[in-house]
Amino acid sequence: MLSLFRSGALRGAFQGHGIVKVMSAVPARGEKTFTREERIEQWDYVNSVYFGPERDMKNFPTLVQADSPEPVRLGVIPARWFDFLYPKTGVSGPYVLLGGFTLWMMSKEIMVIDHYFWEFPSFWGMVYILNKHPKVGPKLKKWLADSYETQKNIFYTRPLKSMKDQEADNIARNERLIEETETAKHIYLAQKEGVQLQLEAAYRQRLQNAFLDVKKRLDYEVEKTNVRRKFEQDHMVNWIVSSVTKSISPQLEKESIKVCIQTLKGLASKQKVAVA
Amino acid sequence: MASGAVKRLSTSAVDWARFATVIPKAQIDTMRIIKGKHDNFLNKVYTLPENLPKIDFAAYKTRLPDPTMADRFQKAYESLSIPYPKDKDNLLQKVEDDYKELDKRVQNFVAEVNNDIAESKKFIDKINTLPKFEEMTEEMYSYYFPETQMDPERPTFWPHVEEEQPYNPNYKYIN
Repeated sequence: MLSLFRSGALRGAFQGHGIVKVMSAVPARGEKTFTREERIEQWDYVNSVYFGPERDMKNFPTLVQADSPEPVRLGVIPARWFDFLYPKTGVSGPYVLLGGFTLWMMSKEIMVIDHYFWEFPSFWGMVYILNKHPKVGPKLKKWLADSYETQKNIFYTRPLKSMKDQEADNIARNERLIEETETAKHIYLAQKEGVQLQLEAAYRQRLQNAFLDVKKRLDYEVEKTNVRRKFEQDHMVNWIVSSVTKSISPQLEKESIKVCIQTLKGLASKQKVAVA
Repeated sequence: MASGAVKRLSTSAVDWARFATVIPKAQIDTMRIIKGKHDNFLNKVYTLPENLPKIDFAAYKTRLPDPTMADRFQKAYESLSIPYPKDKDNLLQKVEDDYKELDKRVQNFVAEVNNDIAESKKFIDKINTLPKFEEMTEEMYSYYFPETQMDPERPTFWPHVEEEQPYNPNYKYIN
């Protein structure tokens, strides 16, 4: 049996794992799921039963499980019993009472020393020894505290935390949704501005067209004047040149060439003299 | 020349950075398309002149054969009134109406969501008011969390899992 404990074969049964978890008070029959409203309703009802106006909180306060056991004397006897007797009997009084009471019970054969008698002192003796043992005591305390903490986690802390986390997630998600609804406003602004900008662009296109057309006509006028002037000039020049060419006869041409040659000759002789 | 758009040239009323943060992540591409179109419109407006451009009539006066012609042109050009284009399909009104309708729906949705948030907060407050684990007895625990306890109306057989119950359609009796 002890080896079973050591190997952890029964751990599932005690801590609630695997198929045997029902044995450890963790129910496998959580088929029904409660909504928030149902839970609130249930809790309000239960609160009204346990902590309602009929509950006498003064005389029957809520019982609280103590964190640690109360201080003891002799390993097993509560210290407050001793504290209760100190004012009446002095420091040694409780011990005397204990011894005297035992002796009185034995003398009256209320407490008989038979085979079963030794179970009582040996049990409490073992409790005392294990408690005071430097290795076993602290380990035992730690194991008990840890298993208590585990149970508390399984039954209370973790489920409640998951509920709270779920609600916090819900709140965060919903707040993001509210933020996302702002998109409608932005899209509306973008659409409106898009229409207005297109109108504005069309208007500016008209301005541009008007400007370009007026400028085109002005430029046309200027260009027309320029071209006309240029044509007139060209025509004048052509006309003069052609009239001059026409007025030159062969006779006049010969004479003019002769005059030219003579002039060249004169220039050449002058040049020779200058060189010599 | 009257136009609301002219004054808004320097800035756009749409806060694109904020828009990008609030839009659902799955629809960010839609926003990019909208922004692309919007930028196109804006660029077109920027490339065109804001007012009727000035023409240097004095320079033309010396170059034109008839100086009075420039004056006539100037007078005509300055008295030119260019009509602002009309919104033929009444798109602005349509956009406004659409937004009004959408806004109504958005308000309803926000109210709903706020309701849900309030309920969540209420539930969290309720959880915080539960008695501490140390103050709870087994009985109290059973009442506070009924789903963790056995339902006397629906008894179960060992091993108390749904698959192993006779009412489960997949359950097979051992013959």
